[in-house]
Amino acid sequence: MIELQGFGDQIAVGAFTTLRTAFTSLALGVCVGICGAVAKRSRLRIIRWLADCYTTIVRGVPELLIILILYFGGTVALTALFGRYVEVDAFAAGVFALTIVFGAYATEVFRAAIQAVPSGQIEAAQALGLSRLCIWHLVILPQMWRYALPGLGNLWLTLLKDTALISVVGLEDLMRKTSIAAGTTHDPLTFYSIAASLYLLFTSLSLFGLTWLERRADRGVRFAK
Amino acid sequence: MNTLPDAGKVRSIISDINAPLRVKNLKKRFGAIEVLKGISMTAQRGDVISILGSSGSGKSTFLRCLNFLEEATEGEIWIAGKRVRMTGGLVGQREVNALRAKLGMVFQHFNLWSCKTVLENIVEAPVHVLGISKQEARLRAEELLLKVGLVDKRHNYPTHLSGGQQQRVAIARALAMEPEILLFDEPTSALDPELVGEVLKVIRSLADEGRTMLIVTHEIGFAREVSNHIVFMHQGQIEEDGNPGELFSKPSSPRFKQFLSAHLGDRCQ
Repeated sequence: MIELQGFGDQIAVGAFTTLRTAFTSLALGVCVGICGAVAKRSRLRIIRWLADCYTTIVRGVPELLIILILYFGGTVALTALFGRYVEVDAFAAGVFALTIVFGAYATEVFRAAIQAVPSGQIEAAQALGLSRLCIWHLVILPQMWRYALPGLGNLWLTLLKDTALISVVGLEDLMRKTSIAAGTTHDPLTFYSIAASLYLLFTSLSLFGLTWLERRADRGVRFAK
Repeated sequence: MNTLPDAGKVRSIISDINAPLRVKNLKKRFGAIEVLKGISMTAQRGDVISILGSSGSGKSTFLRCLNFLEEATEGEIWIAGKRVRMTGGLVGQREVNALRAKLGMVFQHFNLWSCKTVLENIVEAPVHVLGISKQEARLRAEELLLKVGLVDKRHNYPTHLSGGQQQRVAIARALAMEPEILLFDEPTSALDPELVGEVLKVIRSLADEGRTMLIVTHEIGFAREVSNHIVFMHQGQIEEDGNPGELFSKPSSPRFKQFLSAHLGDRCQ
């Protein structure tokens, strides 16, 4: 790492934290999104209603507010629970908040993707006597990805950048490390430019990865090999 | 001495019990509209029954009710001697799946899984539903592909095949489950005219093997030639049925006459 007036290591650590937060939230958020989409297609009205409430509330409130409410709300709740002051871990709180936000948007992406799977193919699977779980695993999931990937790609880019918001509750991510360095060295332009190029680097690499994934998911659908 | 029942009658009762398919008074309502108004029919082993009728006569709905893609409102269905009574309530999912496995369905639009290769399309259900090993399923699938003449396409994806080829794969997929009965829902209606022949040829060869089949079709000439029983449906009821020879030479129902003349032109007159 370049010297950067002694802040090079710190910024590298921050960048690692940013990536760790983003990837953890992505993995959990995808699970939440799939569950949300399944809930929205449930036969039980109460489950559909709960899922609707979730996506309506989360998508209707600024992300920064959700992070703050979950962080401070979490502190209050845990303190009440244990009867003494409990400090919420910034990483856990950040991942939790980003998962909730990502999950809400992903629910909608997955819901549309499931609907895009041709119903005839699902009927064919039913007619063969395959169980619901098998139909999910054999027919819906593999095809759903193809329809979900473009939308998920967008959400991932947003998520990667939203990790910067977690710095407000003290997560030592790329954003926070950069602003400390900028403040200490009185050279904000250099440090913020470095942070910007790092974010850009991560998102550009993501785009390559997404293109590759989309091509893979198109197997069997596109004519050219 | 107590009198023994007539042997012929006993035989017919037993064969009815063991029939691959028996349907009694099947009704289906969508809201206020009654699409099926009480259909009864029995398919004995080796029967090839063609179901004719203009669109909206309920013939596709009838097939879909048989494998529970639509839930019939009323009536009884026996599949390989096992009875399901339709009461409008839900039949157990596991029970439904077990019965569905005995019925092979071939759809108008093939409905192959586009994310799987030809071979995978055929192998999945036997492995997951019948529980046979992957290796055995693969061997069987290749045999079936040989039969429908597509073994060289086994590693292709469905989109790389013509409509006729896709339908032949779909037939192989249904056969892989070794069903008691094959149900064909307008198997050639979505095909270009020049591809119809190859699919009909496969269906004909299955009839020659003595498989029990129900075919909903608009190919009247084919139905006449391949089936031993014809059912003509009109507005959710069986308007006329019988063996093709009699039925086509002297149709009694005016609607069936009308239907035939519309479909066959002056050849019928």
